[in-house]
Amino acid sequence: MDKKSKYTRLLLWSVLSSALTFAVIFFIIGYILLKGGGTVNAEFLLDSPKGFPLGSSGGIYPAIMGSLAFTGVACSVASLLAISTAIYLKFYCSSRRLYNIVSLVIESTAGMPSIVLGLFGYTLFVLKMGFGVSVLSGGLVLGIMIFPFIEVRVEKRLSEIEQEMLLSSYALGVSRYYTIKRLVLREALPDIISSVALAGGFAMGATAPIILTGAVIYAKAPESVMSPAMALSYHLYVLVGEGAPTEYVYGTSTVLVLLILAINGAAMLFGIMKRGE
Amino acid sequence: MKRIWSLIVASMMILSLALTGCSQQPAEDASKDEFKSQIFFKGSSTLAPVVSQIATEFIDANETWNKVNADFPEKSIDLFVSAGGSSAGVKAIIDGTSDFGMVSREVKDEEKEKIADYKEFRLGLDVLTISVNPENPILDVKKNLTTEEVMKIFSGEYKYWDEVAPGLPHNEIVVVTRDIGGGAHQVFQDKVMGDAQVKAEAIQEPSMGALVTKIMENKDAIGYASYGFVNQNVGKITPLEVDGIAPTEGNIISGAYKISRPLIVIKSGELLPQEQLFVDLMLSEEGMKTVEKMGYVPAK
Repeated sequence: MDKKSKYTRLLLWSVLSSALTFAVIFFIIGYILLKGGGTVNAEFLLDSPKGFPLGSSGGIYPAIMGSLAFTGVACSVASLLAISTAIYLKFYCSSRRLYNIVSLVIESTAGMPSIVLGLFGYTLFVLKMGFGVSVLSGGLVLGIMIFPFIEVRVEKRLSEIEQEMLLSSYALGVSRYYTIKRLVLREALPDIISSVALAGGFAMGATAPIILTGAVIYAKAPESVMSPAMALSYHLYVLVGEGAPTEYVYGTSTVLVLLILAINGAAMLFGIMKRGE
Repeated sequence: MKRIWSLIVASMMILSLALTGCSQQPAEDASKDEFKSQIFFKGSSTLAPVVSQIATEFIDANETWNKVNADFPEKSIDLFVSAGGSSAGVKAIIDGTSDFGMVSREVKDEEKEKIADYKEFRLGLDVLTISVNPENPILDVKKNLTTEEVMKIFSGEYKYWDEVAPGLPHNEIVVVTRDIGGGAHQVFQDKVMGDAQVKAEAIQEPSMGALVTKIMENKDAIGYASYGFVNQNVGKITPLEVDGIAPTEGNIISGAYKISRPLIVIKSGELLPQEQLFVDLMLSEEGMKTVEKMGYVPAK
């Protein structure tokens, strides 16, 4: 086989794989939207779940607000810690050994099964720290889950900052703190925001971490981070388990998928607009 | 560098202060000065929809506590219901992570020992009916199974339907149970199986709803469906008699139908006035109506 035909095969293989992946994703999203689209209306979005089993009539308003609350807490906590960690590792950590250890810890956290994180959160936040089953406990566990996701992306973005710009800044006598604050972070901001938003979508879809720490099957829309809340992903799990009518299951899935797509879409749009400036 | 470090340290201190504040919240809530507007229920997935329904109606009718009782402050009524099973309900009371536990089986003595100042409130009764798909030919041949036959079916001694009664098709019996570690199964184990074990091939479903759905889908399936679900799905699943006694309301109240379990709400310690108020509501005529509407036999 000559070099050229090898290359053509590789190209064909890559194109086919990507096409297949896209087809599957579009099929899944399309199928959910098609099946659930009919159920989604103003009443479904603004009412509380009712009926027997619970959720077989009524709506999902408390679950939508709950999901947003969990995601909000998770993103605030995780982004604060992850961005700081990335800055430390990139600009301040001078010991190679320390860098390797911290990176190893972050990678291990990324590989942690989410139900284990949930159990850990139950013991630490719910029992030991006394936060109880609440949006705060659930959000903190989700925050731990998405921390590596954000950290790795932000660190990668910081590595892509042009060395020339940094060196020029230092050469002009500008302090490292000022360089990071005014040059590096400003430059990387669109990507940092899109990383946080992507992580938010990831957190919103997760169920295992919040089952024991914050999600309940019935609650009003959360008014404080100290109260438990419903969440779309957990509500979906309960609906399927209790054998609720399929149109409500698909309706809830549709809202969850659309919310995640909207968050990711908004982040991408923001990134594109910022870069286009 | 120094500034960054001081910033990090400062933010950690603020964070820890904020979090300490949060952790003190429950303690403050417990004191008499601070009114506790939230009530948390955890446990049995059978009882969860019943309590949620009563809670929904209560919140819709009143919204704030002062509308229920003028002595209470104008704080919004927050009732939370979380499932997880009867054992999770008992555990939540032992751990102190929930105000009330929902249990759809008797609470064991060793569990009661771990709960200080144990209190329980009986909402109703549920029975486990031995139910099949309405298309199952067994309904034409025999409508009654003895406890021993039920045991043999669930333990796998009878593998095919024609072993249960001649004339039935040579189809494999599909046994559906709840998760073997759960409350419903424990009741079934105690009252029917004795020392025998359910066969390994039995399908374990995570909830009563899923168990009933499986019977509706498969005409060779048999399982112990909750009385409430049988009433919710008339015509879709059919209960059999056990030892000649049908699972009817009369037989359940009299105790003649033996595979029964209580639906109870448990609590550790004294009830706050607002908690007492909600418990009274659950036990009131109105609450009992909801228990009945959900398909169970009310306690009163």
